[in-house]
Amino acid sequence: MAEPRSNGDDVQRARLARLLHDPATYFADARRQAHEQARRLVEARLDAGVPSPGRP
Amino acid sequence: MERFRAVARPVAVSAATAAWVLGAVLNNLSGWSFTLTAATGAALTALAVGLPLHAERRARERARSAEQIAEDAGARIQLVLNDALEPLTYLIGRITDQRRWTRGREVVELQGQAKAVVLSAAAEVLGADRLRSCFFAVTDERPVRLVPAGFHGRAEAPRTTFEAGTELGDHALDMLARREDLFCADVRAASPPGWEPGGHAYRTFVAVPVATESRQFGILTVDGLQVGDLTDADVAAVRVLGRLLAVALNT
Repeated sequence: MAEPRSNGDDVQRARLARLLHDPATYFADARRQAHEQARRLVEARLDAGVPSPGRP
Repeated sequence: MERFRAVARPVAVSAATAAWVLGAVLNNLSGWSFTLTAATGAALTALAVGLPLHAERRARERARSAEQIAEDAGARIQLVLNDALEPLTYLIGRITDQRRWTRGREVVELQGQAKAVVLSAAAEVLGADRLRSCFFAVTDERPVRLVPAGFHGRAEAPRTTFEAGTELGDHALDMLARREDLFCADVRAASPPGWEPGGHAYRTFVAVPVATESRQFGILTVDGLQVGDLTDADVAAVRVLGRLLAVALNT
């Protein structure tokens, strides 16, 4: 069974408050986390041998 | 694997050179003919091993670049969607949730927050460092003007005012009226009509309308210090932010 993700209004409200309080730090943290997650996804795809889109 | 490659290369060259030397000895070569044969053998072997290794290194570098590009693209999508657009759309939902008859100071406050979110997102999610985003609000007075009404990023407040009746002002207001955007890759190479060179720290900028189909609120700009800080690919993200700001302001 798929697990529900905690991303509701409370999370959005807290996130928005953090963004408005210190946008530079908010986006710096977000950028770092986004790169970490993207790197994990790329590595997972490479490890799984998933072909690039459009490739046989 | 890397250690194996590091060992394999000198072993391959040494073994192949030894084969040439052995061949020369077995053929009773000596003196200059032996030296020439051994040297030629070493050089040809190094070439035979070196060229595929060079190609392999190039391929590895390209693969690393492709991985980096894939990572950057994935990170950027996540940054724009998760970290910029999601809180902004949540905020717009709160604005539209306000009952029409109770709207007042709270809506104005929420709209101010939406403007702050859009400006910070526009300056922070596009990738390059030290970008600056500015909002120029259209005024009701005559002549119509676009005046600075907020910025984020580099600590240089915008000073330009676009006034109807001037070449630059008419160009900006016309762009807004037609809901068009403008990407200037290098202001020194190709600048808008009426542009005054000098006095601007930035070299490249994007300008998009902040408007719905029936109402216009101003223009949103993002500028960068270096040519290449902004690309055509950035315009769509700025346009979306401009449109969402218009929705937030359209109450």
